[in-house]
Amino acid sequence: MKSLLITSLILAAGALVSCDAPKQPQSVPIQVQLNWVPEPEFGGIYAALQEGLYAQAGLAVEVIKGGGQVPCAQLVASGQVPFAVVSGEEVLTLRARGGPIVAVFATFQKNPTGFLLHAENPINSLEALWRSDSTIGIDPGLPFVKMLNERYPGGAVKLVPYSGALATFLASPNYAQQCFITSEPVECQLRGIQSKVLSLADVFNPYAAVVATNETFLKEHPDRVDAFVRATAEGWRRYLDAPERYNPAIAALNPSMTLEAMNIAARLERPFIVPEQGERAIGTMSAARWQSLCEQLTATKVIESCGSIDAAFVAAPPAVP
Amino acid sequence: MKGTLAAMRTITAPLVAVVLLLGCWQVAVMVADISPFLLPRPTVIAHSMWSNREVLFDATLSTATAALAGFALAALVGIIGGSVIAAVPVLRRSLYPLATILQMVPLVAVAPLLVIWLGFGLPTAIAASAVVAVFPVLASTIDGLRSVDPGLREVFLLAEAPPWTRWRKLDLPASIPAIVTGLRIAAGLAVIGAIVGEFVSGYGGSRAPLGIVVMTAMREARTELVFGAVALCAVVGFVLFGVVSTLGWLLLRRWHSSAQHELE
Amino acid sequence: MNSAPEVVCEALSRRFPNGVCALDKISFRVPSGGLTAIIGPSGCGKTTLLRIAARLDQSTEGQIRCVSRDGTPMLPRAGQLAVCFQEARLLPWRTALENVALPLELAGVDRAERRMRANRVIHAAGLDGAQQRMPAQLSGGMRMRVALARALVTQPSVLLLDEPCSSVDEFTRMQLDEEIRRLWQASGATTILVTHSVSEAVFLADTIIVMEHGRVHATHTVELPQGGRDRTSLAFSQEVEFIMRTLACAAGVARR
Repeated sequence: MKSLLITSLILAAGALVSCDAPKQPQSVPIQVQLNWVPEPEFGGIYAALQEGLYAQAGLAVEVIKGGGQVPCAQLVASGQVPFAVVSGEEVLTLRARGGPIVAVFATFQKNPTGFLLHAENPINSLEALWRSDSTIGIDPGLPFVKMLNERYPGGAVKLVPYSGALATFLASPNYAQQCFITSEPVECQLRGIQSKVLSLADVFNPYAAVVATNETFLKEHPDRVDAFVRATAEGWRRYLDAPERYNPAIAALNPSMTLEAMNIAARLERPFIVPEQGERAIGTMSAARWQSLCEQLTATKVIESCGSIDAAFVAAPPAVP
Repeated sequence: MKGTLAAMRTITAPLVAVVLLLGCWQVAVMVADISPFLLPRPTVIAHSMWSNREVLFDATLSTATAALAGFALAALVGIIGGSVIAAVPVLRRSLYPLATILQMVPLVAVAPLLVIWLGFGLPTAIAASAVVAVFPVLASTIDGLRSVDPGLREVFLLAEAPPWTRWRKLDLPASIPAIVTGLRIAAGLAVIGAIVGEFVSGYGGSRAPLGIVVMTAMREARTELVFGAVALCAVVGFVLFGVVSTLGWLLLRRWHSSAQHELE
Repeated sequence: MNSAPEVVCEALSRRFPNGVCALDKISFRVPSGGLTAIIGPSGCGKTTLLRIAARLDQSTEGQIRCVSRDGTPMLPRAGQLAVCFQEARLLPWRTALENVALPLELAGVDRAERRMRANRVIHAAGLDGAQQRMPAQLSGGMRMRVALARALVTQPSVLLLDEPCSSVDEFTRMQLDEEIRRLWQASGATTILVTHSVSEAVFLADTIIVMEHGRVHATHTVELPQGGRDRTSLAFSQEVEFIMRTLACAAGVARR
């Protein structure tokens, strides 16, 4: 009874506040499914949330945490959620299987994934790694494995599933594992472990942390997609300007990563996110990049064909000057 | 003759059910025009299984090896451990509740630890399989041993049979119906355990086990291959279950009522 | 000629932890090779007495012991003392033959010999042809015969029978009693038979002890020749009537 009273008071107060706001449109509930736990790789989304950018655009955004086993691309393609964060190759792969998924915003312009090695490991290149007999933790089914196999054949690497944690890496000096520039290397740094990263971008450079929607949603609500993308891009500009202002809220949602780690990660990820054209072009994509990804995926027979590249993504709208 | 007929009927009934189910599935997917990445048609699944037959054959063999080894380990540890726990009252009071709690520990959470302890590859898959399969064997062995007819025990007591002899000639045979029940549950769990173990324990070389095939196919959005691999997991489990049930039936058919109804 | 010991029961008492007194200073003796029947209502302590004799239970006071013919006390080894329980207590996964041979197997007798000896008692118990049957395939009466054969296979010198016929019909009981008498006479074992059937007691025993409330109410010597007791004879009926009267008297005391 008491809580009901308090709730209605809060509601009434909220109503008063919204009366003051100038011509606030009715908020539409929108979910966005992340493909990992809250981390700086989603910083722009959280900044847009914290600054009320989505609310101003009339979107009541709910961010759903993800994890290694959440099939984000399938969820968004089947319409379970209007937006999800996926990888570039997932967009083309699922499209090739008939999944109506469309990329609308590319967070990472340069592939932020690579291999994490101990600093004292003598291996210093992807080629040397792939031609060694190292044990490497990789999610089964990642397309770059086939690319590396083709490019550097004859190696004796032992591939094991990526655990999403550092325990095995810490325990074995010759072990390498896939990593995300903002995640594992930072954790190593904070633990005082000397590590290095062999970037995959030279071999395989798809867009990463791509926000995707499905064709039906895009057709029915182009305005909401546009509003979401604009707000997200603006969120990223604000986040990259002052990540320390937004990281506490993200850290509160993710007990496995400290605030300190998040601040380091935000500095590390900046060059991967801001494109050559500058901050105004954050999130935008080009057909040429998608085309080259398509060629890599078909060459390694991950998929047979890509269909229309132009249908696979929506060029992000230019930022309002 | 009558036996063959009855056996044919037992095989035919589930077979017809499976065929009907697949038919309904096929028609439903076609009529409702469901996208293949959500729910592929059985014919598409079958085609995918055929074109990936070499990968799937190796994978099934790997997973079957892990599941069988895990099951054997679980059976051995469960029966011996259960016998020891049932025989020693102190252990029964102290270890049995502990074993019950261990059963609640989610394997998915423990599996990464198994990798750290045992390394990547088959041993971890076997261990994961054994870890989930051991409890039903342990519990059923203990229950079986504890419910041995005290009247029969007195027969052995009068003959002054030593405990080991009594275990071999009375306790164990009397517990076989219960143990077989536990083993049948363990057979299915052993396959699940092996798959979960494979999720974390690796795919060295070309012989990726079914767990890895499932993950790879999922990542590559090959839903039809996911279904194919999952179907083979079920086949491995079903075969293991069938073998255990048949062995149990052979052991019990002469005297236990549970094995006698099946002939009718 | 008979080497079976005398069974002596001296002031035997058994008090259960819950305070119930099952046996209250019971004394009697069964002569070597004799058959004493203990009869009485359910719960009078008969079975407790037998279990103490078989060392499956312990007395609170007094003892029941075996004394060999030269007067020295003896402790029967496994096999020298056999019990046939109220239920057949057969191992359901073994054939009749394997069940009968079990005590020999547990005593370490080799395979060929235990097969021969088991077949011999099976024949004596009238079970020829049932050797390979499982207990579940046998009738109640036949199961009891297997149990009897198992009790006798070690050639015990002391035999304890705990209501061996209580689970079979009257017709089968008469046949079984005939069997028990023959087997007992052939074995020469000192035997205690617990029963609640008066006619069974009169048919088999040379001494009948009527028990009531853990005490010996009466001891009666059956004045009939061993060997050919005829259930239809007048003398048999008189014996039965006498025991019946004693029992009624005991029951009357109980009522008071």
